[in-house]
Amino acid sequence: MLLFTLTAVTAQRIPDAPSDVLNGLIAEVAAGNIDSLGEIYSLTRSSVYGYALSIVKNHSDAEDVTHDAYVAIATSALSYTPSDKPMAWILTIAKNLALMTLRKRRERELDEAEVAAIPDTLDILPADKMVLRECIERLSDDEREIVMLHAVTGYKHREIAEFLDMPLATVLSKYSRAIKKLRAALTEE
Amino acid sequence: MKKTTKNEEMTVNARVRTAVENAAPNDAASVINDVKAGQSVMVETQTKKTKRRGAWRAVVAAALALVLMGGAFAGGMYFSDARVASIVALDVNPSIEISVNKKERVLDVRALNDDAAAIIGDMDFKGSTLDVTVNALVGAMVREGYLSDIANSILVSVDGGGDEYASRLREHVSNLIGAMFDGAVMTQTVTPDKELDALADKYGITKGKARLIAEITTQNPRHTFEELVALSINELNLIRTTGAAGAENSGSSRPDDIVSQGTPSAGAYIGADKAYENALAHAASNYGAVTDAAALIKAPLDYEHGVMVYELEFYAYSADGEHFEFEYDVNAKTGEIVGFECELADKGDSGIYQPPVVSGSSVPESEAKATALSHAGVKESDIYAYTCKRDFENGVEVYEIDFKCAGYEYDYEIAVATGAIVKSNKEVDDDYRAPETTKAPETTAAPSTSVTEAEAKATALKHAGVNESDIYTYTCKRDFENGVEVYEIDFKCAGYEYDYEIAVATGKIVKSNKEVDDDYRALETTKAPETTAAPSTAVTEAEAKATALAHAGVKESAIYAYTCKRDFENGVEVYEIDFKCAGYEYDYEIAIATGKIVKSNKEVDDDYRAPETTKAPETTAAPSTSVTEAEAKAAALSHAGVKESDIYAYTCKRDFENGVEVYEIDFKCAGYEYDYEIAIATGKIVKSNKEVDDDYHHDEHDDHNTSGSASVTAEQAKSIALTHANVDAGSIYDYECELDREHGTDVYEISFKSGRYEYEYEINASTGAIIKSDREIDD
Repeated sequence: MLLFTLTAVTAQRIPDAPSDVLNGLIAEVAAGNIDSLGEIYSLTRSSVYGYALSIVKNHSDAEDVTHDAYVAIATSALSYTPSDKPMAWILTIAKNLALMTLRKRRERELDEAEVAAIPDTLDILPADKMVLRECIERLSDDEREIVMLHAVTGYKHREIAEFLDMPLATVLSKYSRAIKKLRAALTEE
Repeated sequence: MKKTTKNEEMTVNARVRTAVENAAPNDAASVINDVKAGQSVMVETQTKKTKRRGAWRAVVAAALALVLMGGAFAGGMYFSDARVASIVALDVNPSIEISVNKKERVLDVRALNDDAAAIIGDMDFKGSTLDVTVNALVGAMVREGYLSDIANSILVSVDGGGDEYASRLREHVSNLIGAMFDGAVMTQTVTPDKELDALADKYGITKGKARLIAEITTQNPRHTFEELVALSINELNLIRTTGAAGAENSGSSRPDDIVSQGTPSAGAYIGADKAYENALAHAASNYGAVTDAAALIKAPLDYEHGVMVYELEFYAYSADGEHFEFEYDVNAKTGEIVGFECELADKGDSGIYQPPVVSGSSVPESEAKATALSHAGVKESDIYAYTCKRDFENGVEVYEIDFKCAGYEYDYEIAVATGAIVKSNKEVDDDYRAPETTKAPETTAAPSTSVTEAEAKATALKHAGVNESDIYTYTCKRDFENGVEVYEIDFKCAGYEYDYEIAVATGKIVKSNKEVDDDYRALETTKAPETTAAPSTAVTEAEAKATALAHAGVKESAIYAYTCKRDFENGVEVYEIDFKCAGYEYDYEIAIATGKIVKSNKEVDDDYRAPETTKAPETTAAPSTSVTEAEAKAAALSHAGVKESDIYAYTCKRDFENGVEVYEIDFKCAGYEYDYEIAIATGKIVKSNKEVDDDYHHDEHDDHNTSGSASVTAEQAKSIALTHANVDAGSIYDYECELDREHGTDVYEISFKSGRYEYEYEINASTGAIIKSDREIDD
């Protein structure tokens, strides 16, 4: 049992971007190899966009946050200390930018309804648009973040709990509620 | 209570994941571009060796911090993204217009002059924040020297977005720039004005610069719009703030007023003191003014006679005690006197006083003429159309002497005071008809070092590497090219057009060009002329072929579909060699002159059907460092943390990904699809991906899964968890069970509630062992 747990700690996580790959790429960016930023981008853009979308709740802002997040990643790479959680570092950068966007929006007193969350003009399948709209409309903010982190980033529930600083149990119950809501919404249509 | 089944949940997750992946932006290039733009500013700050170096760096850090915060400026209403909300124009000498939307995202960056185009270069700012863009552009202007200690003014004009919005944006950009360097920043809001916009269009300047010039001409009607157009913003700022226009804004606050921060630098100029000194010296020598008691009234900078000048006004007495007021325009860069007048100070309106010119230092016209003829190397008896008049040129009195001789027009300016040649020019006289002996005057005109046409021709032929007997359509004429007299020699030889310009004076090749003669039809023997044209190092097709084969690492007997043609690639004549071998298409370009490989490419041949032994040719083609498929497979499995015995649906094919040859390895294992790309040359994992296998059905999967990694059913796992928690199956609610992959092993992630507690379990799906258990009070 003990042995097993040890393996669990050191074993690599597959989903999309193993930590050491990301650590290596961030180090290369810090060393001035800007092409590595492109690799980080390809590996993590869905996670960053999905997480940003869960906070800002519209495509256009999420797209901007994603762009800015990678610029920030490049400029902050020098100060990054390799850890076992490079993904959390990246997501935190995205989170801060997303929160900044919300604050700006409040300052401008923008009505969220004025902005089409997922514009009809967005060039993706109607089915995908529906999924994103349901995520934005049906889920609470917490639920949305949790679903994105689990479904897109591939975070385990306990990783989500750690990242969002929430009790695991809360994450689990919110997650299950969210999945139920989404399932209901997606099957009723 | 309805229970979410594993498959339904997976479907929801998979659908969310797919939707996000499809909607997520995929434009790493624009990010990289922005980062590079930011870095160019950084590099600047790190290499610039001025005392402000530290300040620069701090500023860039601050600007980047702004970027990190997602752009700091906020205001106004929210419109659609692609609509231009405002245009922010930057003028230094480069004039650039940045169109932004309401979120200060850049829609377009437009260069209004050549300098601006050079500054922008290949930077693409679309989608970037305004801050990043301003930062990069201003940084580039500093790097290129448009902004420096001696010219530090920049004009920021904001057009559109409403007065309040515009004034906040002005302030924001001004602060941003002000933080970057110690300069003079003028800002203004552009208000509609058809006349000025038309002028801006006409002269290719920004609306902002047009308004700045208009302000100066309004204050000082002596200036015309047209004469000020060519001035840099720093010069305009100097005229505006220190010049006769000198209109310092005092308290008025119309939105279109120009707000100025910082002092424009006059560091490029000699300074008012030096200008005054020069003016006094001139007044003393020309008017006999007594300068000891001279009194300077004012010395502003202004633009006169096409140059920046100090406009000096001062009083001085003449030797006989008359009190004069002098006005001098002194070239602010050179200190030259470019204009002057004086009048009796006490009788101000008595008209311009013409004091006697101090004599003794002037040369007669005859002497000036002799100087010109001697310089031209011609005899007085040979010249005609001689004219001479006295004029002032940049404040210096000169004889303007023009004459013609033997097909040339000469034009001299000789200082009256010193007899020195101020300017000399010699041009071909277009009206001249030579009296047969064209060469005689040339020899006369040119100094002894000049070369004959025959010599120039020989030089050209030698340079081209061709024999005189091989050339045809030879022409030679004399012309002036950038002030240098040249022989323009054109000829053709063996399919090429040659075009030379050889300086008459030195015999040097000023320009040489060789192009394919489109009209050329080879006389069957295509190769012969080529050999003639090309130097001895040219390689044959056979040699080029051998080079390509050696590089590809394939044997001639193994290749097929071989083609070779000669072509020009970026001005270099090459053999274009294509062939196929063992499933690959090879494509080479080999320079004919050097035999060097200019381009090589190897692609998978889509039409290729391997004759069973696919691997043999691969081994031949790939260098020794390449990894085998088996090694690549092992790397993928190890990375995925799965055993070979557990996987199914394994496929492996070789492909090129971004120019890198890779193994594309796909396989499935325990509900997931794995997708790897492993570089053949290095064995490195280029790409790895793991996705939920939508087709995966847990029950059917036992067929594939020999190890029985999910030999524990979900029900069994549930009972293991319930037993461990010591709760009754009837008392639990919110039960969730998810089959997931943890460190290469399938586990059930189980959660449920019972009583006041929430439970979480991870149970090994193969062994039924509890990997993790957790109980918390349910909030």
